[in-house]
Amino acid sequence: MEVDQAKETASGAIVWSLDHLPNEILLKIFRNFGFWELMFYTKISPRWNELCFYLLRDRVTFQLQREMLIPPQFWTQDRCYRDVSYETDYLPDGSSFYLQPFAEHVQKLDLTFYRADDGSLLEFLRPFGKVVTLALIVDRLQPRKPRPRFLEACAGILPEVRHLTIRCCYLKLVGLLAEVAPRLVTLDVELVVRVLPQFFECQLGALESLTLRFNMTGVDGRTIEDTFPKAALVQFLSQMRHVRKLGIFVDFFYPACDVASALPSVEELTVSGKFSVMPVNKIFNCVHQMPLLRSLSINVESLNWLELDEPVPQVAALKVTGSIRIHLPTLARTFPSLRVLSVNFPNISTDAELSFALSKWENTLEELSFRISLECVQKTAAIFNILRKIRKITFDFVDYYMDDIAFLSSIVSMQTLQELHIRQVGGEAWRETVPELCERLRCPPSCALFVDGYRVGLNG
Amino acid sequence: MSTIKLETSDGVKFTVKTQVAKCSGTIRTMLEDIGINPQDGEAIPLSNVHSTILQKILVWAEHHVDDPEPPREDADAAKRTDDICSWDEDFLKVDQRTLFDVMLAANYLDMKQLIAVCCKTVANMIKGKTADQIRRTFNIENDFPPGEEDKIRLRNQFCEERSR
Repeated sequence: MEVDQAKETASGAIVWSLDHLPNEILLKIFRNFGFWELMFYTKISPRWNELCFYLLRDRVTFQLQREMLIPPQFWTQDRCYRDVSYETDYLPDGSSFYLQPFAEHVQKLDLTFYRADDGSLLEFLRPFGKVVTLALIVDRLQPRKPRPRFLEACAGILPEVRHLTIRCCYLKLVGLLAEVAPRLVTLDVELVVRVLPQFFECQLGALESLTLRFNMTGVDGRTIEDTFPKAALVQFLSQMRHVRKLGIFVDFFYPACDVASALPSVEELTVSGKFSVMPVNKIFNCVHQMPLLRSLSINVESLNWLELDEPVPQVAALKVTGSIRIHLPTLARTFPSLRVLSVNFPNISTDAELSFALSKWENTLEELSFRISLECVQKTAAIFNILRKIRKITFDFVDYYMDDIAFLSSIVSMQTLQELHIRQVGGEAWRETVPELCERLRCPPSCALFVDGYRVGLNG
Repeated sequence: MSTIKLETSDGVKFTVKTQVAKCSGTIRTMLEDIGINPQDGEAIPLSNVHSTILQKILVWAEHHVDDPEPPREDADAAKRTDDICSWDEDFLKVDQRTLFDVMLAANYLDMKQLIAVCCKTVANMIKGKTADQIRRTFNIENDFPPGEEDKIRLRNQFCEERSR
């Protein structure tokens, strides 16, 4: 521990003070405080500042401001920030000089610039040599250095980076990516089609998690089929033997999703996009070629129903968001082995449909999350009893007001249920009534009740 | 029922049930790992604990001797401080000096649950007070150099809770 131990003992003072307690006991007291309480107590005394910040050191994100780049004495103090974010419209030249003592402690850096030039950006990054996790979002990167000189300047920069998020379609940043690529474990990258050949030059052999965001802005939908280098991308991805987690975000060009099939070892897959009219089953052809797939997240804007050509029994966790329509019996037939299910607005037109779906997951489902109307749960609450392994249920109610939750008593009484979470996505009026109603709900000791993340009705 | 003798810093000897004494991790280690034999009749010296404080701590240990081990908690998560049982609340209604002496002794004796409840009690005494009220209540000197407190306040403005 880096705190000062010199003040631990009383120095013969007659007046008894909390300061006479040793650091280890003060820290035990302070561990009872939340984030903002600890922040407040930093101004009590230098010792409290040091101890509170010792507890906060991994919980703080420091928001760098442009005016702080000038006076160095601001940083030569007692605090080491590990997590720093900097959001500004324009990154000025030579801005990193005074950051040196501050930057060398930073392990996680989030940068968002509206405008920056390539040389300034590299010079800004250079003092942050210990950064492990970097997010770099630049709307407009202006070229100033010739490409060979830019690539030369990239050499040896950010030697510790393992997790990289890069949102900037500028070609040269792919050069920066190439420099750090061999060490990356996680990569989340935005790509335009014209950058792909440079992207293929990167050595990403150590990668375990990859998220590809295809930016189709300005792309002609009629010609993309001819210009998208799908085969080359599949070839490139197929060399990544360690990728277990894959994300594919596309605007509209669904064949981009097919590249997922190049990585049959993937265990977690996220697919996101807007496909307003096309049949959705085409998007998910790839999942049938992923025998190790355990977790599937779908965030799709579509007017169609979520349907796949064949069942996917290997998937144990399914999360569906977006406007795509859900028919529970179809979902139950397609994903018969789910342990975790989270869906928006399942269309439950009859009790029999819900009953059929839940009976399919009777012996598997452990966690269930529905975004749903109060009335729908009210009518069907008893049906949930069929689930023999359920541990956690979350209802995101869309209603604006709720005056009775007695119907939940049959759910909280389920033998295996450990947590019932109720969240409101409706109006403010809801907030006033529900915690009080929950206090009245007779919850057995085995089941904890949460409203908007806070535990209520602590069983007496 | 077996007993052992404990001797405090001011030379007072206490005869205590072994099971109660074992609420202290320090004494438990002495008996089980180091191999001190209480049957020898020699008192275990507790050189950092005064008799008035040990007497109070033994009352607490006697009351909680059958309590189960508390579950492990996430060190970073803020803990509840409103769950102190009424017996402990009454037990800790003492002046600050006694409370802090109990904490120091409990720390020396390695009595985790007693320390935890003392810390929650002090945390509750701190919560809701202004900076000046805290300094006055606990006799804390504001020994920031001139201007430093303002700098801390300024730096705090740019701190946000990290999203997990």
